[in-house]
Amino acid sequence: MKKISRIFLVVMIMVFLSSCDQVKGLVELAPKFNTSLPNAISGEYAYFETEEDRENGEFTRLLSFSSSTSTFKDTRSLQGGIVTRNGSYSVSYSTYDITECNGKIVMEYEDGEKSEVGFYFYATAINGPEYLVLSDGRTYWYWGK
Amino acid sequence: MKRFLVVVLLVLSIANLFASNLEGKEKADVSFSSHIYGESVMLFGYPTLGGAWDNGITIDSVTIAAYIRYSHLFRPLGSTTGKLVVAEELGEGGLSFKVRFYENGRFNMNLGINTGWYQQWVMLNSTPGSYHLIHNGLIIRPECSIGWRLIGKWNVELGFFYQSPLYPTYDDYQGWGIFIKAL
Repeated sequence: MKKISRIFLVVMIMVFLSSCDQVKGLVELAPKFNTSLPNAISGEYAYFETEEDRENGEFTRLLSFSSSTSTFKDTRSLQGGIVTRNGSYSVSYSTYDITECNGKIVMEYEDGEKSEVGFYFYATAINGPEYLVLSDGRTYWYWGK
Repeated sequence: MKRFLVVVLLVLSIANLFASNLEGKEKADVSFSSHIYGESVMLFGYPTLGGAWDNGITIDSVTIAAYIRYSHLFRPLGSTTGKLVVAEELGEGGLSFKVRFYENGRFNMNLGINTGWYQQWVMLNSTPGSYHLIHNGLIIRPECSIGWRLIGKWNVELGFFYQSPLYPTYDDYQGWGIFIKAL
């Protein structure tokens, strides 16, 4: 009888704890484990016409990739001003390592235009992401998260 | 050179498996065994900290066991800046074979080899809170240890090993390490 009472008590405590908001909060803090490859190109990458523009931060084109929403922003600096287009993107890898990878980026703009470009990504463990080279031959330098 | 050492230790371990002397013994001493290890291995030029647990069977001087292993890398990919990788963990599960090739009183010496599936789990700066599986594959770990029998069959060991991912190869996870078997 005592054994049954103890088992019943343990089960009741477990039910109580599992419904406790604080316990749920703790569970949500636990890291998640994914067997899929991470998004290497997440962040902002800027293309500069000249080295001087790069030093001054005057980009010609800025690509911002979000890994959480799989959306991107394509910002171009034109004579008339800054033009930004949004859309969604997907990445596929031909080769992958944490510091170096290449593959394809498919960008679908909100206006329906679709663009598929090859890429090469390079990073170092010390400095983080360095640059992205697209199949248009241009080097896009890492500009931030 | 390192791969040559791995092969030499592997051959020595296998040779000892067939060198057990059973003369004068009518019955093999068979027992189930479970052990806990603390260990550290040099990866990317810096030491890690981790442990392992194995569970198996000991027949005289030979132990065959299944194990799980974990190591935490204090310097993910060898860096503490966290600008690319903020955390890195090494997990592994496999089989171990160990032979006690020398025993004198309480003092003993052992040779062994572990082979298993390792996994490199990495948390990127761009995806905080989420570990991703990057490199994984077959790993081999020959080891050598000295032991001291304390009470009964409780044997404390101190040893060293060399680990090498075999397939696919991953040079960054090759390295020397030390371990302590406390329980």
